[in-house]
Amino acid sequence: MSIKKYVSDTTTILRQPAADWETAVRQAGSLLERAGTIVPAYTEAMVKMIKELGPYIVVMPGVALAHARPEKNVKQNSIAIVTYEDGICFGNESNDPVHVVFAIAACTDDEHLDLFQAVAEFISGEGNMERLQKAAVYGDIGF
Amino acid sequence: MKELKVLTVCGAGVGTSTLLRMNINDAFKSFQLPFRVKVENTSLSRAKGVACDLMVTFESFAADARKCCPDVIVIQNLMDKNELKAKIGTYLTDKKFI
Repeated sequence: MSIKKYVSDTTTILRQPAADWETAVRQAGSLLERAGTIVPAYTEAMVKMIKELGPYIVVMPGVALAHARPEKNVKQNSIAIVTYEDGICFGNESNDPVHVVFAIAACTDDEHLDLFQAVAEFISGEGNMERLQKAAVYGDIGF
Repeated sequence: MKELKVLTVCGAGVGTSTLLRMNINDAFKSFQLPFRVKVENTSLSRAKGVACDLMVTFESFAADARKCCPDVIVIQNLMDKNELKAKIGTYLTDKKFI
């Protein structure tokens, strides 16, 4: 259930310059598009969900979990990670600014849970988030 | 009362509400209660048609949640077990369940 199964060097970019929230979510989505694990419609759906439902995906201070319903737009269970040196404002009063954006793509609703659990486990792991935020290259994250 | 029915609610009803369900379940386990607690997760749109005693959700959905359930807990940090436990504790005390 480790996050390692879903993330790779190609789905991770680190220490990006500041961006607005939509650019950030699209950036995370484009990593998965390039990896061939989602189609562009999934990125659109992630953006649309935030526009329609608000910035609740910023589920804890500094961390956004972008996702959407699978709807056949996901070819392979996968997760993208983008970290930002300067925080991004999602409009979530309690948890802005965001420094880490996860884009979570699961093929089915059931598998969604596995991926979310893997992300939660990673986030809860001692020192993991600090290491991720400081990491300059993929190897620094220490998956 | 035999069972307390709790709904965790998010936008899509698949990701964040599921994590919230698991963490809320854990939080309830730390209290000795004379009834069962059943926690289910769903999306806001589906939550409107489901009867429950308590809804747990995020600020984005708080106003809508209050329209369909009298008791709503709003969570700020999904991963903060202390926040979840404290808010559940306040709810249970207010309701005189503990």
